[in-house]
Amino acid sequence: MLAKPQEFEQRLARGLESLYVIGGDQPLLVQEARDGIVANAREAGCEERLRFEVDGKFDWGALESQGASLSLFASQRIIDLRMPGGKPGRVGSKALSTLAERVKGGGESDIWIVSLPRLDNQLQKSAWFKALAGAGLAVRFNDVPLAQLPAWITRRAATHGVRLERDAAELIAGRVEGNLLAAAQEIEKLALMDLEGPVDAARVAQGLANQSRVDTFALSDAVLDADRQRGLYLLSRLRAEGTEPLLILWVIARDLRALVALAGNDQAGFKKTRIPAFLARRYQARARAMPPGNWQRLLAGCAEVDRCIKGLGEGCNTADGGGRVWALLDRVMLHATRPGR
Amino acid sequence: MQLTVSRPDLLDAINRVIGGVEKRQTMPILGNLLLEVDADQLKLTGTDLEIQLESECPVDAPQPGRTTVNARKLHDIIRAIPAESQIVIRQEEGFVIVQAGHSVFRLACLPADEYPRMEATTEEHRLVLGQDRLRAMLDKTQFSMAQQDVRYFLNGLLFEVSPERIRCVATDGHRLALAETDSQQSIEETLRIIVPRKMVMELMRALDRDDNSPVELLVSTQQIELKLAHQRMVSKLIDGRFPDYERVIPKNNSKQVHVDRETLKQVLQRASVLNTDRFAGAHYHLQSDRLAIEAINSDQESSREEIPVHYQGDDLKIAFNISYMLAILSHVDDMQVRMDFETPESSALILPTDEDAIRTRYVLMPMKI
Repeated sequence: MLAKPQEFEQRLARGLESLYVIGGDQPLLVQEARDGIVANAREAGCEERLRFEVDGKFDWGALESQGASLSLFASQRIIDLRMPGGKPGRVGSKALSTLAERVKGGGESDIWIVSLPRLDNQLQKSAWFKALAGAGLAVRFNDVPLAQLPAWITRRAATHGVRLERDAAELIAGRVEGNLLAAAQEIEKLALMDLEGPVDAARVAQGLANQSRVDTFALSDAVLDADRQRGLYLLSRLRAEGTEPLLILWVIARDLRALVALAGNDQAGFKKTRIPAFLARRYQARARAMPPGNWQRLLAGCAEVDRCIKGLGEGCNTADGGGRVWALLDRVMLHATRPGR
Repeated sequence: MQLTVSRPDLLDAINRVIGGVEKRQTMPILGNLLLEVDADQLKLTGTDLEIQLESECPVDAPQPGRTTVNARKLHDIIRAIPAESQIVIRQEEGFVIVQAGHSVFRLACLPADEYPRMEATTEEHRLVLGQDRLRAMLDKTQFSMAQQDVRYFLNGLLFEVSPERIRCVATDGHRLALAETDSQQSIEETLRIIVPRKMVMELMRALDRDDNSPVELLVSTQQIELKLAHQRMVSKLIDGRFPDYERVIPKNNSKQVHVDRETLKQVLQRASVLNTDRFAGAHYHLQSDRLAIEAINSDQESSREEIPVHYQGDDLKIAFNISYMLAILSHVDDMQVRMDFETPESSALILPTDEDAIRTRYVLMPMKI
């Protein structure tokens, strides 16, 4: 039911539809899709655009009545509805389902663009989403996997007339940590510099700020892949971003609990951690790669970090207690990412 | 600088310029009023560089001088002072002292030389119209102006002046109001200018609805200026193309209804009890000589009322925004209004049954049912 980005582009090239539902992890891709629709609509003579941002206090009644108010000057308008939270609530669900029905019945004269965040399972299962996707064109813009990011950056740079050396693309990819918006900005910056010939890593490094935003859950990947360097790097980035150590500890401890459970063949214990089932295999493999007592010991190490965060333990109640917390986190990470047997 | 002034005179003068001062400014001095004292009067100026308002008031024992002082603070102080006080204002060691009876206020001031002023209007056109008539023209149209619309040219009022008539037009994209009056003007070509919303509102405040003495509007390509007794108002014009409004005024709507204005107004006011949302609509079901008005809110509560009208023709079901219709009905003077409909999706033309010295036309777009 969900269209791929390529399919979306083909259909957009063929003509405008009255409902677009676009969503994905990457604001950049969603934004560019929206801009594409708006540009096409403008070309077709559709000048008026109403924009709504759905938050907790959003008035769905006002959206409905404004959508229903016809315009004196334009026969067709763009209604740009943005739902960064992805949760319309009870009233909103009903309003969106009504909209879907109207579109399906061909009774909608305006062009609706509904922008959503990541289209996760819960969102895709909701009645309103199904109704919208059934009535209009729903597109998911997937995250670009880390391994494909350099290629994505190279392609994008080419459309801006910038030729990137392989190492330069890799450097940008590493620094932006999957943040496509930041990558796109770097490319635009390079394009503005109007450099001659291919751009290499040294050149990029000069003007590149470290703009990555790391996700605490990326720590799990580092543990599962036994990637020590990445694990420590992520911790240092999270520290620089001012992430609460307690949050990081929670992620690591959850992983360790899962590993302890799987090492002891305790499936129910794994379920309790609420880690998605499709990841079970990776956890299983990692759990078996180390001697069973290993994970239990590390979990005890987490308890020490926890005490330290709360100001207990040696050197933790000083003003510099924070530094000790991070040192302890590093230690846990070092052990948790030890290569397997 | 020093002066003595009565509170009512000063308060009146401040009230006439305070609208020009924005609550938040880009430059601190724009939060101030410019005070200028000459041989026999005090002149006040307030501006946000889009609009500039000036007023004058008579003073006693003046010592000439000029300074600037925070507008809101001065306004609040003068308002709080007992009604019949005599106020002494003087400059002392970099401060402005405001003294009334036993109250003494010391206010910070900024140098008058740094006060930014808009340029004088180079007169290219001069329009002359009765004060009461100009105010009525504005009053009958201003409510349809857009507010903070991205189509910036809608956030104002179009003045269209030809040698024989003046037209005011305002629209927010859903409704349109037009007022027109015959008036001999000494211009050769039709002049079209868009006056910003803020100036329209200030003009409404300044103009006297019962005074039929003529006033002069000076117009250049960028500015408009109005001089009244003890008052001067200057505003930049909106540089943009107003939409082709004649195109959207329906000419051939065939379903003509005559309805008592006050009755319809009261029905809609009752309907709006359940529909407080300013975008809410009501359904109109038109049949021979009767009109039923039904409104439903989001909680499925509803109201229904039927009124007698003069209508012969096919049935019609159409919906309109309640507050838009009410605004139109409130600005028509006639007892009876005429409404011309065509289809549920096409615009309605609403006008008084009897023509006045000022002719008005209102266009309202329906809502989807």
